[in-house]
Amino acid sequence: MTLLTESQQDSLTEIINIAFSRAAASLSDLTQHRVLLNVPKVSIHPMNELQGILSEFVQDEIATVHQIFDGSLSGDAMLMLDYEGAVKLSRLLTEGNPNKKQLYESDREVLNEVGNILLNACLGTFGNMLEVQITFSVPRLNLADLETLLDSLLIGKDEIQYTLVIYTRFNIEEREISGYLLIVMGVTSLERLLGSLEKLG
Amino acid sequence: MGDWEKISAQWLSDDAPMGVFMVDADLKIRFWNRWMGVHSGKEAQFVMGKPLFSVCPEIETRGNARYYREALKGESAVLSQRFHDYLIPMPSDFAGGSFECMQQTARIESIKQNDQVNRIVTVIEDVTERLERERDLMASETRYRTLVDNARDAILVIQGKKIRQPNPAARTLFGFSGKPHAQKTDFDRFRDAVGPEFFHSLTQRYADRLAGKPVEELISFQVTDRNGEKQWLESNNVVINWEEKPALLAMLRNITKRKNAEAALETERNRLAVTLRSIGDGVLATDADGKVLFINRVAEELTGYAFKDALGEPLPRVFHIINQQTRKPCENPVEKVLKTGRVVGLANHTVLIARDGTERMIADSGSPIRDRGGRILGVVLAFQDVTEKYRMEAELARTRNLESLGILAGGIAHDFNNILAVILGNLNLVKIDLDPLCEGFECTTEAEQAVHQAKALARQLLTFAKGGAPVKKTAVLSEAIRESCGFAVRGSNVRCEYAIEDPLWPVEADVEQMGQVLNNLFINAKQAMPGGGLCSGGCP
Repeated sequence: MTLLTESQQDSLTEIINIAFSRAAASLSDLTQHRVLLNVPKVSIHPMNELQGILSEFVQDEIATVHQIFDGSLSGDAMLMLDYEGAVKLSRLLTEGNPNKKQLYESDREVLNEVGNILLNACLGTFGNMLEVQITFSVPRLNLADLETLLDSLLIGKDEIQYTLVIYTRFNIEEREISGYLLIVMGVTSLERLLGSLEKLG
Repeated sequence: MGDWEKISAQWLSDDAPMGVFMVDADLKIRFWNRWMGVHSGKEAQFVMGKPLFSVCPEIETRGNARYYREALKGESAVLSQRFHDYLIPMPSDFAGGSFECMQQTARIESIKQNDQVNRIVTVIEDVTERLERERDLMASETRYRTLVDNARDAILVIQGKKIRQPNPAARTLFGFSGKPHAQKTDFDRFRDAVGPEFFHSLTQRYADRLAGKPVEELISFQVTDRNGEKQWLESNNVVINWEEKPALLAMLRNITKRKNAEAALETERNRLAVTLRSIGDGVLATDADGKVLFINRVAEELTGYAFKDALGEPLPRVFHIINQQTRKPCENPVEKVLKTGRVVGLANHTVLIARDGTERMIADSGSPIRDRGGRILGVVLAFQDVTEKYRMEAELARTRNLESLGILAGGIAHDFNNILAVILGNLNLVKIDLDPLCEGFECTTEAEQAVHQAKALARQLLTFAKGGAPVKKTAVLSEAIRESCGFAVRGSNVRCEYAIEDPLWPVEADVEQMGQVLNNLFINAKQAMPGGGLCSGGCP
């Protein structure tokens, strides 16, 4: 089930594409590799549907780069990768040994920076669109299973939460790594975002 | 400011083990902790109030000024060491190993006041030592990974319903994809490969093993590989702690070739055993200590020991042999073979005494069993019962003697026959000139009959010379009876009487031999009656 009209879906996809182009340019610049970011699918779901959608993608431990954002739009933003994808992404971007299986502290920092660039680009573009300033916390990398992660997102939230789910594909050096960008917002922030999308449409 | 805030501020300023500095919205330095002073060589009193990029121009020259511009808009940033090496160049206590200067991770975060970014905080962490450790760790991981990845054995970790860290051999064998969200997980593939029946027992074994119950260390089982071919695997498992949870480290060795070789060997062994058991000679094998390892069916019969009774027994107990003439025990052939290392045969006149005391003449030979290196592993004895053969040989020798005698008798008979022919011819000539009524004629006739009987004897000798086979023909024996009886009693006071049916039925017989038999009977009768009597002959 998606809560977006067709025009909202188109506008949102376009905005995210703009944000991802900015992020891809930053990542290419940083890594000296040609980094492409694709957004094949964007949708909005109530939190209770999230488990079903994401469990097809991840079954084991997942790595998330988590940032809290505040301002006119507030919520939690995160880049979510499965463990293997997280290791692979770090190694591809830093020319590390791709056969390594373990996520070292340095890899975690790399993922933090990559997630930060992606999330900042996305939320920054939303801020520009709404003409408001959004403040971001410093990103943190967490390793947990999906259930623990989703539970943590609901702690202390009174408002009904919705999640903007952006299926994301990194293309680096002819390799592809899939992940999700999740932006969890209360109903007020979502209303504000959808209203802005209507204006754009 | 409360006491705790003061203490925290004091700690941040003087004791924090990381660099912390703050700039205002004009990017002028407003806070510079002691760590920054110590490591950058720029004390706080000299940098306070000065533009950040003039104190640390490298931030701008290395393209990192944009993070501060973005921070002014509320964004925060993480600068990882891998991408940036450092934010502000500083010497490091740990530098000089793999790195020339301090390696840093930096975080840049904005602080708002009244919805406006008022301060930007930068936290710098020295990660040089950690990187050195990581490099060692990576090198160690590479070494272990090289070992595991190049192992021919399939190595994997089974935890719950998950397959973790399969090495390339395991991935190739089972066709693991490594994708947890694939339609078939690696665990599904493993279960399919093992098959439902064995998977159940395997699961139980794994559960027992995790529970610390005693489980056989090595097991072998069959799987279907990714190409659908059956493979034999030998599994060796160890309970390990994997990411703080118990798991099984499974090392699976492909033993298909070994199993096939074992099956071929078993077939060959069975074939040889059947051959040895079916062979006509007795076969008995011992180890290098002379203990019986194998005994075939014929050897069982000859020695009187069943396989199970003979197994492990010393050879002399099962294979008790003596010399026929001296009755003393023969030398143990196994000891002889082990001593000489050559094939040995038994002496003549060797007698095997069976468990029940039966004695048999045997002929045998013993050969060493050697391994590939020529080392003697044991001895194999092949022997046969030659009792019957010896008896036949004796009989043959006797027959040969008789044959020689026959040839001699045949030669004499032939010459004797020739002489008789001359006598008979002359008697015939004499009779031509004699009056049949004169006494001389009767004597000549009897002489003729005696010559005929002598010829018959000569024929018998010829028959003996030919091997004693009777010359049978259809004849009436009445005349033979009369002739034999008359000839036998001639010149004695014994009288003959005949009771012969007329006509008498003809019989198939050697008339000469029958005549000889009758003649002997009548002679015996005559000799039994020296005072004279009646001799009756007839065919009732």
